[in-house]
Amino acid sequence: MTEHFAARIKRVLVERVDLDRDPEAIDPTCTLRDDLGLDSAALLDLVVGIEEEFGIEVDTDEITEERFESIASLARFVEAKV
Amino acid sequence: MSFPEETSVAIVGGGPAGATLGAYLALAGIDHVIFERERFPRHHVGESLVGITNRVFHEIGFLGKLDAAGFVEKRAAVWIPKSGKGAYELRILPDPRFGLDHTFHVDRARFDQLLLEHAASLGSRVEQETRVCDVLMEDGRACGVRVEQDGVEHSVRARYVVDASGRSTLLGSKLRLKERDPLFDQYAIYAYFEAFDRGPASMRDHIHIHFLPTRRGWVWQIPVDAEVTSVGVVTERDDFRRDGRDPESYFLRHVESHPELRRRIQPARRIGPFRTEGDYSYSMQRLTGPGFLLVGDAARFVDPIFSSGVSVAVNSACFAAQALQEALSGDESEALKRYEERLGAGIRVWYDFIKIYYKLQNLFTRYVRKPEYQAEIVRLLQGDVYHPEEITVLDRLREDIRTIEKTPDHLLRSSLTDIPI
Repeated sequence: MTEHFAARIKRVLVERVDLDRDPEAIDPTCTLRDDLGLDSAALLDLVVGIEEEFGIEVDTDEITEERFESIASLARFVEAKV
Repeated sequence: MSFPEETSVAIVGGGPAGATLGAYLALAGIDHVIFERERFPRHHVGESLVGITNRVFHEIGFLGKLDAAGFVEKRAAVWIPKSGKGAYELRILPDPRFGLDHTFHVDRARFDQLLLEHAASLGSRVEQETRVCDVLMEDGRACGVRVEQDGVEHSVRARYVVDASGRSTLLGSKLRLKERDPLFDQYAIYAYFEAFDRGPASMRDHIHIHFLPTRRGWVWQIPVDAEVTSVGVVTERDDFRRDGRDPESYFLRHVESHPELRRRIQPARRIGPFRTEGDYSYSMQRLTGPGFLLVGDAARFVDPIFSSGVSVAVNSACFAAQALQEALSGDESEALKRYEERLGAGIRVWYDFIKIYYKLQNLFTRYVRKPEYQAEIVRLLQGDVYHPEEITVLDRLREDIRTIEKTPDHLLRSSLTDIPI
């Protein structure tokens, strides 16, 4: 199940954040900031993209390094929210 | 026509603030003279307008002329991250009550001339190539101006003097009201280019803001007409000082540090010189005093990230015209006080929005996509800042920033700048 969330998050990254990568080729364990090189603007885009994709509300204090470390950690966070 | 010896209102400067004030006063039947140092057309920076100006131009009967003048129609803004990848496009359509679904990017030489001519057509007396050497004061009250035209000096008595002298800040400097902004000390260098690649066809008429990898650095891309694009680098002045190079290589180094800009400027040919603006942001201890008011850039200059220049100019002119009507018919202190409050409140909203913007760039883009805040953010970006009681999104943004600051492992904590909110 978490994998399914991961696939949708990758799609958000590619479509909404304009990440120039093949979604299939992104390793779910790679880190968003260091490996994928997302800056604060891109991370905010990702937050909004995830809210819309999954119909959830992410509170500002939930946007932590731990939850947003990688696609895998983000998928676990989203799964617990929906 | 002989030179005027006295008038009700002497307006120092014929740019958008002075010309708009002239137009309002002409419509109200208040005699006045606009003194302009240059002979229009003359160059001026600040080519991008915001939607709220439509209201003012509608009121003074200028909107039709403006729309017929063939300027580039502006309907949206685009933010491009420093990676050069991706673009955030936001449509910012103005209030449709004034008949247009767009505002404009303008060649300021032509725009300012049209506006000044419009004021003259309504009855403003305009004296160009007439330098205001000094504001005459009597017992602490402004009571006229001393001007120089064709090498001859004249004194013109006036019941009110309005300083619309722009960044020259004639009265603010004379009366030592000017205070350098404690947070923003920026420096801009810009030039006009032909054949600059404005990006995808659907976006080429939008204003573009390209973020630079340097602190508070960004580049504007504004279409001045079908061929000419204004491109300007804004950075902290210290960054320029440290660089130690000439403005041109400084400009090119920054433009080339941005992958997308580097590509876009490649086919471009520069037309005209590089120009610079230093000593950027300032405020005035007060915006009025006995016998005088400050309008437009002469009242305040804030970082131009949201294209507020012409908007503050024409809105302050609108408020000043009302204040002058009231003051001339009786209650000066109440009228001037109300002017201070109205303009001051609007500028505070601009300034707060700018501070939050530089605290965490793009935080506001999160709220633009939330239906309950979208309309407010679009209003702010249109320059509709004069009803602060209706703006709640800034409180929400401030609250967000505080949450980020106090959440130790917040993802965006390291992206916060040191600007106090």
